[in-house]
Amino acid sequence: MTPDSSAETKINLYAPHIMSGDSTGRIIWTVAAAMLPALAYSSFIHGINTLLLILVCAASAVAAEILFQLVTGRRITAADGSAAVTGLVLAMTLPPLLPLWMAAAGSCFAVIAAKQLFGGLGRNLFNPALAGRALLFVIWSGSMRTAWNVTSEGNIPAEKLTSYGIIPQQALDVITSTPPGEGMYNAATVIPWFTESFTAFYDFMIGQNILKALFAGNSGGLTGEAAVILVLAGGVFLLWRGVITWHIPFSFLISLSFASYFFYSFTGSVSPGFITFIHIISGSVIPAAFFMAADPVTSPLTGRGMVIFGTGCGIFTFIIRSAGFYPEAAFWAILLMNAAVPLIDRITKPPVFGLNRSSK
Amino acid sequence: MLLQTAIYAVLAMIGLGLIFGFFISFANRKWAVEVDPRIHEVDEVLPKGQCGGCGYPGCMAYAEAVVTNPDVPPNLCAPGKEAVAQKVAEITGKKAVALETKIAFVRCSGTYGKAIRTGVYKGVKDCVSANILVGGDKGCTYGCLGYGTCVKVCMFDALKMSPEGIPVVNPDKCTGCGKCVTVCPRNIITLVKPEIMVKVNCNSRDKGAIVRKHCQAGCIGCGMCAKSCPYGAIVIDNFLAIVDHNICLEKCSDPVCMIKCPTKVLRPAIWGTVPGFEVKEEKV
Amino acid sequence: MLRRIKGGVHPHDEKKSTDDKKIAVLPLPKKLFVPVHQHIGQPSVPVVKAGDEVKKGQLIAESADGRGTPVHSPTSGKVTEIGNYPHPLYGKSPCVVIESDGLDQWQEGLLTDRSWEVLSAAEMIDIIFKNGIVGMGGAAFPTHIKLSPPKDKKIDTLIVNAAECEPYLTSDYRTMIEYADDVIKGTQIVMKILGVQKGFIGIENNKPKAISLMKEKCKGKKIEVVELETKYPQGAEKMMIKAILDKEVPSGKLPMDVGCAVQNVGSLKAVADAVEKNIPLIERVVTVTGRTVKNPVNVMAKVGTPFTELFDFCGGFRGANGKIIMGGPMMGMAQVSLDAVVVKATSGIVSIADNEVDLKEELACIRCGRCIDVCTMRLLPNVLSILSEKGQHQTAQTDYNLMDCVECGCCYYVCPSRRNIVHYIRQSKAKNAMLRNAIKTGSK
Repeated sequence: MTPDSSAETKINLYAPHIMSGDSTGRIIWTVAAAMLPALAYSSFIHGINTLLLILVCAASAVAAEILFQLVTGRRITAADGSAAVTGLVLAMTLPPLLPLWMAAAGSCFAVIAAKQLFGGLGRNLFNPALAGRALLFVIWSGSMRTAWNVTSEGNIPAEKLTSYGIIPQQALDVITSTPPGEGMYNAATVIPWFTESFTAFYDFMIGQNILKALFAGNSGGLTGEAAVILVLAGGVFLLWRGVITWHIPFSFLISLSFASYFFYSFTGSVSPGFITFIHIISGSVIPAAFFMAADPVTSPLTGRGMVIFGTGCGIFTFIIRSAGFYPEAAFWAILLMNAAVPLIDRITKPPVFGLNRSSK
Repeated sequence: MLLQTAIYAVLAMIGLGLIFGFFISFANRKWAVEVDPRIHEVDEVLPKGQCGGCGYPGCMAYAEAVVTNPDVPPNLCAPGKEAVAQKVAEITGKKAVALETKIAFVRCSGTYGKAIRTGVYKGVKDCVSANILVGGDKGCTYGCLGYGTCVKVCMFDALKMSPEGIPVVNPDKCTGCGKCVTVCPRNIITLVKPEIMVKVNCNSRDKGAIVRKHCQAGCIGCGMCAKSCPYGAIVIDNFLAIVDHNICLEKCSDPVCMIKCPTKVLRPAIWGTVPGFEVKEEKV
Repeated sequence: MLRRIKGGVHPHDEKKSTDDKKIAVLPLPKKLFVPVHQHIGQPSVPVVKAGDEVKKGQLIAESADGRGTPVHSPTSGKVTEIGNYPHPLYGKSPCVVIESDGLDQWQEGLLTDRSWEVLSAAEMIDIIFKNGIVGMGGAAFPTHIKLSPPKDKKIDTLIVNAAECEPYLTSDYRTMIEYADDVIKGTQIVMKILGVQKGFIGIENNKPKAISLMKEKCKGKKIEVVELETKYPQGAEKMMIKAILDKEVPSGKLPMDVGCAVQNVGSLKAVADAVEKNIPLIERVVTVTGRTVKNPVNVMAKVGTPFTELFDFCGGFRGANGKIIMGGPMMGMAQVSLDAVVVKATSGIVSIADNEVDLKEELACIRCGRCIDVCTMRLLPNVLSILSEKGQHQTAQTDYNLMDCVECGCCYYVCPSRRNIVHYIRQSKAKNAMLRNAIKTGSK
């Protein structure tokens, strides 16, 4: 009847003895799942090169991680999915027609230099994907500015976006000068019901063609922003699954809105609200807010810290856009704020129970 | 044009260097802190292992103490051995006292095959941690837990974890600083003179029957050794043989106790079991 | 009104299997191994020797320094041995082994019938001390010390801790249902001893029956029943005070510093028994439960009963056992041996099935911040664990309030990387203590 205690029980000398059941692996794969619709739609819009770009990024990131861990004799942790997600996030930030070898190089740099050299998962200071993109941008600036896809309806919004400093001038040239290539899909013709309903909606709401383009993926953007609506859906999915909290995306978007609205109001723009709206939904701000800024590893720990972080991202995004030379300001703003995370963590330590508050 | 720019740059750098240099030397004079120069001299002499074996948090702290406090003896630096003790004594003007060389010795032979484990321990791989939880996962509550806290603190690379789960001391590298002795939560490691042969490779004060239940290699307190020793150097205290090493060294040349010991727990040590640690067992 | 705390977790409470089971009486075990160390502090010293005849309720171990609690014989019989046997909290510990004679005879002079109303506070504290009563919630802090605060600390509120926030356990709940009058009486006794005018009973709202029963019993008695949100660790002393009185116990201080005393339900029942009937603390309600236990029960078990007897009473196990825990699954102690015995602080014994045991390797912290959200002490558990991993135990203490951690385990419960945060924190605490001792001995 009585079991021999020492022989039969597998004693795990440890308290607590129950767990909530969530795991790091599951969190990481949830992020990957949330990105998939946007990336899939992007491949659909931009063609086979983009699909390959996404695959190459993910695969080379995983390969780089395994290789590095083999060489340094560490435990191989590619199965947790963090390298693959880094690759996918990197793919989101690249122009859709970028040469594949460049993407692979960026991916390797992201995983090895920005992540593994800092000690691996959880210890990196900068978002690895954005660090990889920063490197690519510095080295192959030309390709990064011109490997944009051509879209038939992209002309009008693209000009506007360039004038707001959101996309680079060179990209505008590409988008406007060349006719659509053969075999390129056009969302407006493939799924008319989609665009039609949106056209009707926006014609009714604002009456501007630009919104349809941005939402349906015809503005000529990066891989990750083919359809802002799908990226948003992914972000909402992450919020719902509890992988990210509302603090960073919302403070990011709200601070950017405020900055842009006040700036354009004071400089006497006709419709500051509309320009602000474009600022939010274009230039990769949505993917940056939900998938890059909200990355738990490189963002502050506490809610207050996250709000400071998100606000900083928003304000720097606007400053870089309006005054700076670099496009895709959101990415640079996040990298900038990444560096401030240790400081933010230090000043937003929660008040310890029974301290800092006089007891009655 | 280019040359001119370069010259300006060089001149600017030189100028800046001069300004800062003056400022620093001024600050150094103005806000200099008076320190007994001997503290630095002693610190220079010390081996800088920062092992803490002297009982002070680092070499500088000991240097300060030995210079300022007349009661601190100059021979506390175990890694430095004789030579350092002498120099420190010279600098501080204290009387040089002979320093006993001692090395660490792990009083446990409960390797994986021999000592049972009562459970699976999933926790921080550290003996102190494992010991907090109802005495860890080893059946024997006196034995080595084998998570290598002592190996981690050893500054001199003298301790290595054997594949059998017991740390092994390299007598050539061990300086006798005693750091491992202080971190071991079960007080298994002691410092002994290196020339001693008869050592009790066990720390268990349990009754013989309980020791046998947990470990094949433990001291069961049978008293065979005590009976066999003609010089009375061994006593059994709480079911554990205690050897008076001074008697051993002085009188004994033929340790029969080691032959008589039924569990062979009386022996020099378990050196020679780890690759890279092939130290010859001292001849009996 | 429902009272809440910030932070905490919602583990599945698993109380269904035992919460409406009456407290059964365990058949008299043949041998009892009564540990002499049953409270926080120095172990008591046995006053009987092998061969002595003892009666039920007889003193068998006395406090060595006056701060500990005495231990009494749980039944009548013969002392066969005083030796080291497994203790659920301290590994091996000296036990008085009593072979029962099957008669269960009380010692003379016990089972009196006196009224608490005529006794003075000092007399009652003495009775409580002599009857060896400790905090029965798990910490086993001697009750008489808790009830005699220093003169300068004015206590004005008594809180009865009936939250029972640990999953699986129902012993406090059953005590409240079946010994409601004793619990109320105990509360009144303690209120008289402390001279307080206001008492609260804090009960989590997953126990509606207990709430309504207690409310009914407390009518006209200066005791208020407070409904608490079901959340772990609601039953931690500091959280209880925060939820009920909205006062924070200052860091490093005790509840008495905010004028509070917190007592466990079981202790109050024991206090009532001791004061009115002069019965020492020799038995307690224990919940024996878990997915692998055939018939989970609440049982009145004598102190010193081996766990094996309890599991036999439950009909043994079904399926493979992962581990046996004394206490709740969040803070309880996994047992290395089923020969461990019931002590005064054993509120329950929980078995965890083989497939519930999580042996996955821990990963690096991904800074998700979940541990910070659930930490009721508002610490940074992940930072503490990383500092401990790097060996910076002193920094953890000076900059990150290591010592305020109550080791409730919420951080580990939610950690997606399965980091042994509580264990890291304990390691830091242990190593800092070692360092303190080393410095103390070094300076002498």
